[in-house]
Amino acid sequence: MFFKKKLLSPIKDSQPKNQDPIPETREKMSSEFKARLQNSADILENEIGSSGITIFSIGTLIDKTMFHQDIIDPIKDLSFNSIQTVMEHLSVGEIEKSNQMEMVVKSALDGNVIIYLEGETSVLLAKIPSRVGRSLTFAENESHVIGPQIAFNESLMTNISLIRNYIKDSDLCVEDFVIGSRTNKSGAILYMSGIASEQMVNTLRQRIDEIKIDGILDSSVLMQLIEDKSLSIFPLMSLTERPDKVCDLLLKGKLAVLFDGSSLAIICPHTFMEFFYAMEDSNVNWQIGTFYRLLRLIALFFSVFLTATYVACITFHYEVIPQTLLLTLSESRARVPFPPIIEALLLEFFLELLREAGARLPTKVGQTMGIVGGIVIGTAAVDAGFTSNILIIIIALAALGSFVTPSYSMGNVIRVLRFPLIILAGFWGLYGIMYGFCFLLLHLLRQSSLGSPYLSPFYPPRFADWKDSIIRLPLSFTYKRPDLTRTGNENKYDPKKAKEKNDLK
Amino acid sequence: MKKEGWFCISLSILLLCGCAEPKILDKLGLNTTVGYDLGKNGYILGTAVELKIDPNTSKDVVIVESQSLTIRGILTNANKTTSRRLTSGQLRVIIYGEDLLTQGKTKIAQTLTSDPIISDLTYLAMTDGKARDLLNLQVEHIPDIGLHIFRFMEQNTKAKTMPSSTMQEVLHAHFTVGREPVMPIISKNGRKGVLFSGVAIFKGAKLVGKINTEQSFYLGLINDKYKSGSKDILIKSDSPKLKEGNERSHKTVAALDSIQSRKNIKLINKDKPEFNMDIKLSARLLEITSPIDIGNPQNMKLIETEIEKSMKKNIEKLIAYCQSKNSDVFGLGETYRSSVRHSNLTDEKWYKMYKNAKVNVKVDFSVIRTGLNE
Repeated sequence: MFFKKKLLSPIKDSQPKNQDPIPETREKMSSEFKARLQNSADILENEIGSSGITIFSIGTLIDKTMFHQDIIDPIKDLSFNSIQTVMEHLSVGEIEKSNQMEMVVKSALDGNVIIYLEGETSVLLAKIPSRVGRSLTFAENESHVIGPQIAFNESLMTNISLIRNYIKDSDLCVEDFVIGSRTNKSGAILYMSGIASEQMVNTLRQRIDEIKIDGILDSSVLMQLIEDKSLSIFPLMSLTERPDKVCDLLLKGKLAVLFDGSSLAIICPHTFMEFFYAMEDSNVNWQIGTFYRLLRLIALFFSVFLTATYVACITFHYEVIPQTLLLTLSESRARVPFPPIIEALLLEFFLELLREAGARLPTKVGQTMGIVGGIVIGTAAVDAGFTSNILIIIIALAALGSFVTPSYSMGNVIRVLRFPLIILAGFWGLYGIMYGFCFLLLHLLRQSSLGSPYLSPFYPPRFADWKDSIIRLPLSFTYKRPDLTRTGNENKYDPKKAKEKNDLK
Repeated sequence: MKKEGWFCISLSILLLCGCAEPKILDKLGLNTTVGYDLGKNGYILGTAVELKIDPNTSKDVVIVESQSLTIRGILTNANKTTSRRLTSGQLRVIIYGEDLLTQGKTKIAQTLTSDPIISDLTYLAMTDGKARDLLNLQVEHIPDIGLHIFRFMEQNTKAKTMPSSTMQEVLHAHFTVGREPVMPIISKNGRKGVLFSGVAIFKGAKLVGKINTEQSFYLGLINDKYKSGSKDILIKSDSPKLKEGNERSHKTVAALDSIQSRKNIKLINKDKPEFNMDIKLSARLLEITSPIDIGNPQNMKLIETEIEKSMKKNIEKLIAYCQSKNSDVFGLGETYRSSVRHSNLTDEKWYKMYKNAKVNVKVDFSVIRTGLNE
């Protein structure tokens, strides 16, 4: 919490408010403009023939083709006596007029060209930003087999248009904001007016407005700043690269934040359970969807507790080991020189190393990591009596369990949580695991996401929402929007009509 | 608030420190089966099958022996001879030598239950002779005698050949007024292995009688509920149809399978204890060593009544035997206590009545089918 306070404390505005008007002569304008942009090398200054017009811009920020076709070409052979007439000749969509130098500099940084006519007190600002960025690609981080394959990219405009394409409704609100005293990046809060709770929108808007920071480069950083408690290890809001997921959640009454330069949308409020849902659950049959969700939940428990339970059982509670397993377990343990806690920590550490190396290395080298890991861990370590092969199975299972979590950020948390639990198990056995479990549960109970309870719908119990929680009932049952979002419009559709079947006879 | 939180966390961690003492699996010698015999001068002779897994040796099982005056002392003494600390957490079977149980008042099982590490589901058994001899049995096909006895008892208990005698059940019967425990008798089958040779009947902790395995089936009928199981029933009938066996043997034996039974014991006279014992059972008739036509419904009826008669006789014999030994293994006293209000029954009171209690046995047997491809 105190980190956030520090970040949120108002930063002294270094630049005093400048009420300077536009200089009257071309030379003055030129030097003023360059001075304000620290004489950067990429400042362009084009004098257009005999028209008396000078165009200032930052060359790296504007679209050169548009600059020539839409701005220079129409005016190069003409002469003007007022700025208003220039405006009539330009075929650029976004043109503004300004008489403030401050504003002129800012808009130059936004990809505007400044059209200056000597003797005039105002200038024209025509927006022709260059489109630097990549095209839309497959959703690779959250890939689905069934469902749309597209993912957001780094352009805010593209991302908003993706969502607009999914939800063609006049109620879709896009509120923009600018953040960062240095980066001046824009972002947008999206919500469905009438469905999303007014109070939540206000809270979110206020949280974003209160951020005073020099720069934010990605929405993941923004998320950390607007989360309810920045000290929790759990992500309290969700990040996704899938526009269809954002739309689905918008329709349920949630809020989304898109940020220019980031391919991830922030979704809030988000519950703990929802990190284990994938869009694919609703794209497949409800039975299959339920199966997937149960699978992921079991995987979660396996992933967090399995290694710890192994350590606890081997170290303290040998009496709970079934007789049939006793021989194999102790045989594989017999050659290991370390106590179980060290053995488990070592192997977990090894696996984390492999994972991290695989993630950081270039793809081509990354593939060999798997082979190295497989051979080193799988065969050599056991042969050398370094670890027991039962533990390898358990660790592999736990690792797999953490990878099935659809949310990457939640998967990270699950992997990290294992370590303290293994240590607790190694020192205090099952009591330690229980202690850790209770601690985690209490911690989760205390969390909130945009003021909504994090463990909803289980605590506080919202029985109606259980229909779409660890199980997913057919669509005709899940007609209600979740209580979590405190939506003003509860039903997605009329539940009575959903049960009718009006087939043509 | 914050300070209190930290205080609570550190306090609970501190408190947890005392909780557990590490017992790392590969540093332990696991006792899987323990045998207790009467030693010299009031000592108890303990024999333990220690599971000691070492990949460098081919044999995983070591027999450890020690003597002590207390049960706990046996383990402590045995530790003096082993390289790994002996523990009882994986104890599956406890075998008592006959001499120890004839003495009674040993309280061995009670001592063991007070140790939380020993499971209540540990099987208890008696051996005629010395437990030590049984556990020292060296047979080629039994590499681990402890595991072998456990599997053997588990299999037979599940199939209801053997009365179930987990520590919990035995102690429950022991402490219940109007019920006495039983334990299976496991003996050496020559040099070939182990054998279920009968059931030991107790009064309190004292061994008072034994019944054979044949009788043990009927004990099961009274005490338990059969859901499956098989049994050969000897029929002694005067009917000419069933009189002769076949050429091989002159006895008529019916082989029953998929036995399902239900019993109902009711007190009908509380002044002079008299019980109605209804036993309903059904089974598949698989084989009968008599050239009788089992396709004929009338013959079927005959077989059913003959089997009923044979069973009834056996049950009555069993009850009479137990009454003669003054041991109520059927829990008739418990039925009495639960049927009579304010009876304040004590063991003493009950055993005055038990000797003369009358039990009217009624067996209702029906054949559900006679095999599948006939």
